[in-house]
Amino acid sequence: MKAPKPLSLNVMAVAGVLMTLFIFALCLAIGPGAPGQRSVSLGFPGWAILQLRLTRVAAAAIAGGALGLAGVLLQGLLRNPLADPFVLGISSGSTVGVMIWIVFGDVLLQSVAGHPWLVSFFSNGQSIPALAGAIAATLLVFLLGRRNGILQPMTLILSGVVISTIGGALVMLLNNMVPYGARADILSYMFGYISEGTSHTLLLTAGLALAVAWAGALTLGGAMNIASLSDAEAHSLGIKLSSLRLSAFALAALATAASITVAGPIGFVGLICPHVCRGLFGPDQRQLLITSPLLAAIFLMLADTFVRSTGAWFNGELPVGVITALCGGPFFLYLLQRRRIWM
Amino acid sequence: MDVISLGDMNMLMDRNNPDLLPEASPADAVLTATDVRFQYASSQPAVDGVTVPLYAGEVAMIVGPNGSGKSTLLQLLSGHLTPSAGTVTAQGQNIRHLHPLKRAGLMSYVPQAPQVSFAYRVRDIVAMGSWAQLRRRPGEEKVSEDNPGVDRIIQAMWDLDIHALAQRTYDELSAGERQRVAIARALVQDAPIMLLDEPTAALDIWHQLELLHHLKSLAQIRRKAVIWVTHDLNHARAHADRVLIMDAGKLAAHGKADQVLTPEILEPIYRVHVAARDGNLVFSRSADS
Repeated sequence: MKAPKPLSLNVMAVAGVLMTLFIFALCLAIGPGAPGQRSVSLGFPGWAILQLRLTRVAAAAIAGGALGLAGVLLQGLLRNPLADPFVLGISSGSTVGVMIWIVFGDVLLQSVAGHPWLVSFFSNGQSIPALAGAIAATLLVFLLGRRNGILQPMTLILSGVVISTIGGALVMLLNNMVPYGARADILSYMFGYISEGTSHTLLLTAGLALAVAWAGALTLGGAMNIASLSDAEAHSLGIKLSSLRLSAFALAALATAASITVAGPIGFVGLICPHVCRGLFGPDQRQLLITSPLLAAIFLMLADTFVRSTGAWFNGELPVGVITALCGGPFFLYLLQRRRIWM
Repeated sequence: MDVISLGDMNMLMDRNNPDLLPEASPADAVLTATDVRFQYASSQPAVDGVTVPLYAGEVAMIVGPNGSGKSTLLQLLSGHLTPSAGTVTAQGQNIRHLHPLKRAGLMSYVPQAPQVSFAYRVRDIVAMGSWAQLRRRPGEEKVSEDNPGVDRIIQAMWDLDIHALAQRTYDELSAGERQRVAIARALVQDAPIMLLDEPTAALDIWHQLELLHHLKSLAQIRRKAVIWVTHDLNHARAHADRVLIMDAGKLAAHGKADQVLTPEILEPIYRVHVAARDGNLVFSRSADS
């Protein structure tokens, strides 16, 4: 019997990409109306404004796609539908990095004053310290999450939770060392932000990191389906769990880092998008690895377009994480009532 | 298609035909444990110096009290656990050095309580058995460009009486149905060595007998080695070609069922009174006898 070609995967990918491109264009066309007015305009603006919007919508698409990808990988890796990119302490790690930057940044810049390359490297604002903090936390969780040379889901989750808690305490400690005025920065950082001012180098680097992580992840889908069984069963079917988990962890960390550098720690996207896709299309990881990043990109582009267009309503732009939580939360609860999506 | 129907098996199966039940010789051993030891952290050895050859074409049942090391031995044989000393060889090769896909082509394993973390459909779980066959193993060609598993998946679901559940999701299944799904997956894997940990524990009596019949047929006709952990000593007595008795991590006895499942051997191990009555073993508390 001839095997049925996995046409549905290709159709799904093409339809998903087309839809994402449509939303991308739509978000470029939406923006605030006249300055100071509580109005929203639809239509393509002049090139100068379009360029700014292009940067911002692309940043949202990259950050969202990366979170959706990391969420699928981690939920599959940890066999836990409650996992999200920040369960591994990456969020609090990056916040600690930013706090250290706020407290000690000036001292650091002075100490490297003689090296122009280092000065320009560290002058990218919060992105580099955030990335450094995220990498440090990820490495720590990785080292603590292993037993007998293999990542163990439960050990990994518990290590992540503990590192997050320690990170939270460090943030509060550092918070009391900064002038009162700087504290608002850190509060808004913790909810995630996307800016027109994102440097194009940074955007390109994050986009490249996402592309590499995504391409790598797409090759793992079939094996990750089998890794949903117990360790002993997956092993007997020919899966090398140690290298599969190492790859999934590394790719998820790379995607999360890409997202953090352009948008800070945005919650909820990486948790709910894999869930929604699992509810719509079933648990097949090969499908989820295509649909979840696309849905997350769409979700974050729309959420960021909303906060970008409604600044005049809220005394300045809301952090985009507020919208992802306020829209995503109730929608998630609705799905939870309607369908069995916890599995 | 190399799947044999149950009807063919009924014709071919004849316990009185000596040609179908050849005596095993050591050269036939497909899976051999040699002085295998294993110890969980800070406890007594769970498996302590077990040496046993297992043969193609036989159903070997491993019995023993709780905690005697049966399941650990099975996991050592499957390669999921690595022995702290000793070796396990499959068809002459140390299984630690086998490529995972090659090992999966040699051995299937069914745990006592199969687990699936997300709500996969029954058919998709059964189809996972063909994973290794569909992939190129080092130094081998792919089995075929066509999917060789489709017929086998359908056949395995019929054999385990789960064809009506094919589109159901795993979370809707009972314990017995889940066990049958895992066994069907092992049939799809179609490895010459099958390792099963209490595969009948959650099955009703009809499904138990069907499974026994089916696996014995696979051993006798397809020359598979079926290694089966069970608590049911009468099952072992009636159906096993060979019985391995584990006690406190050691292999206390092994041989033909009627030679090792005797009151003299079983009473000190199980701490019960054992009597043989009408071909069955009858158990009572030692204190009552």
